[in-house]
Amino acid sequence: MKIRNLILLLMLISLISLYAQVNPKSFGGSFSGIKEYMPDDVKIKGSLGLGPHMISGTQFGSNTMILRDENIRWYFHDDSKSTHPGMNWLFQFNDSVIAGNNYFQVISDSAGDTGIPLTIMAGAPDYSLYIKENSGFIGMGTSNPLTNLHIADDSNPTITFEQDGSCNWGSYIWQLKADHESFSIVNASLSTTPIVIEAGAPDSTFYFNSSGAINIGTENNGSDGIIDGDVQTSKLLLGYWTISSENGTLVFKSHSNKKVFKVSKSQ
Amino acid sequence: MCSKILYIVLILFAFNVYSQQDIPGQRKGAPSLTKGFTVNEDLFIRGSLGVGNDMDADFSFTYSTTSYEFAMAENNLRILFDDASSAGNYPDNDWMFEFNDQQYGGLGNFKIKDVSNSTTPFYIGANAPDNSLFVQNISKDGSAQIGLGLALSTPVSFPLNIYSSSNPSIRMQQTGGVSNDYSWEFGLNQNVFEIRDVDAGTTPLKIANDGSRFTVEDNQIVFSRDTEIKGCLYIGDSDTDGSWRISNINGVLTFEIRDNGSWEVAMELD
Repeated sequence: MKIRNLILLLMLISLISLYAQVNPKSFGGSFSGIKEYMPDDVKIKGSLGLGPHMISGTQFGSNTMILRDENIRWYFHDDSKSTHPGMNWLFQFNDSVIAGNNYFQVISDSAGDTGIPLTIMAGAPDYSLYIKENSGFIGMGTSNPLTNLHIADDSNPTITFEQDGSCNWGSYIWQLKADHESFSIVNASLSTTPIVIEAGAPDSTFYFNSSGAINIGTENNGSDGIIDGDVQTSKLLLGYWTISSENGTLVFKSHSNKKVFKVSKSQ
Repeated sequence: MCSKILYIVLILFAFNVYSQQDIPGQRKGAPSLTKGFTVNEDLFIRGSLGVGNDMDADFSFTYSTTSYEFAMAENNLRILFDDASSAGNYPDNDWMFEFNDQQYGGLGNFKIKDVSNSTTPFYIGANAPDNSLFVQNISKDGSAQIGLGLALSTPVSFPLNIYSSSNPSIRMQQTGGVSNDYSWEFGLNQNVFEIRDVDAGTTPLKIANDGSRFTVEDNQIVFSRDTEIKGCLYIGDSDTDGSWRISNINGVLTFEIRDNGSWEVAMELD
């Protein structure tokens, strides 16, 4: 009789436990104590809060989902067979170290070999990267990109080309700058500006035609270049010849640097 | 007798409860919870997860040939990432994924918002073409390549590659203020590469295809073709005494030197 009662008691306990897993609401709408496992689709007609710091009673507002944690990570594990693409991806929000950085990153992860193709630092201004509806034009600093790539800034929008020295070549930096005064090509490594186009320069100030001729001030398509205006230079090189001014005397030199002809002021 | 009846009742109850349980890999009658509840532990779902006020029980996680592990259905789709770090100086910036504007007449888009700083640093407009922004690494040196407008299917050498069916261009706009707003563009087509002064409406620099015979090197500007000078050639500063001016005056090649602020003829070749 005692054994029979014991069996009955065990059956009751196991049934209550089983029932509790099926009908959690009957336990105050709260799961705890075991790793919960849902063997099928789960649909929530409402909002979802995730994370160990999620507080019961959180107001969701317009948010369909809130993740709350000290280290927010969203991992996408692709378990495709090796014959199919199977890169894993991670959304990472902020560093997890003291005095670390605040950012959002998209990280690719393949067997611990990670890459970070996208980083957005906290505090980056509006539309740091903007992809426009329909056209797909890219805006950097503007929500109205008018060309394939449109870079806007309150002062001196600039593109930097940096050879970073990680290869065998030395590091070197060039920049393209544009403002209300000029468009310029800057050698940032030497701090020089070898090419400047002033704002308002007329059409074809420089026109390099398909014959290889250089034209200044005219859209000439002949094989010889035309400079429609004056040219000022410290020295003129014509093939092997050099024409320069030395202490008021115009000097013509051959390629051997021998002075062969001079013109002086009339006496 | 009572014990036997109790046994039978318990066994039937056990079958009834067990039939509600979901066995992994098999679909069974899932519990339906109509009010909020809390799971105080990790939750594993061997299936898909649907969230949102408009997530119906018959929502299909399959669209065309694609099946989704996660779907949201609501008229305002937002995911808030609330970094709860509080101790010390841990980073704690909050972020949000926002899908579509909320207001009537607004735009369809996907935005990444920096909630803590109230900015929207990343934006994708609805119906942007395929590969509007394409990032890859198939170079030998490990550097990234970005394609704007086209997927890069073969290795390319350049970090930024811009594609367009017509006139690929880059615009640089200074937005400093009304008086200092100014835009420049550079771009190309099948005939020419050009730098355009947008505000002046001019194109001060054009390079026709195969016309790259102009270089700036070692403090020299090099013209690689014969060049006609229609004006004067100044050797030295045109405003400084001692400088020379060479010009064609009515068919006479004239060499002049600047002296005391005026040009004096030194030699003429007829």
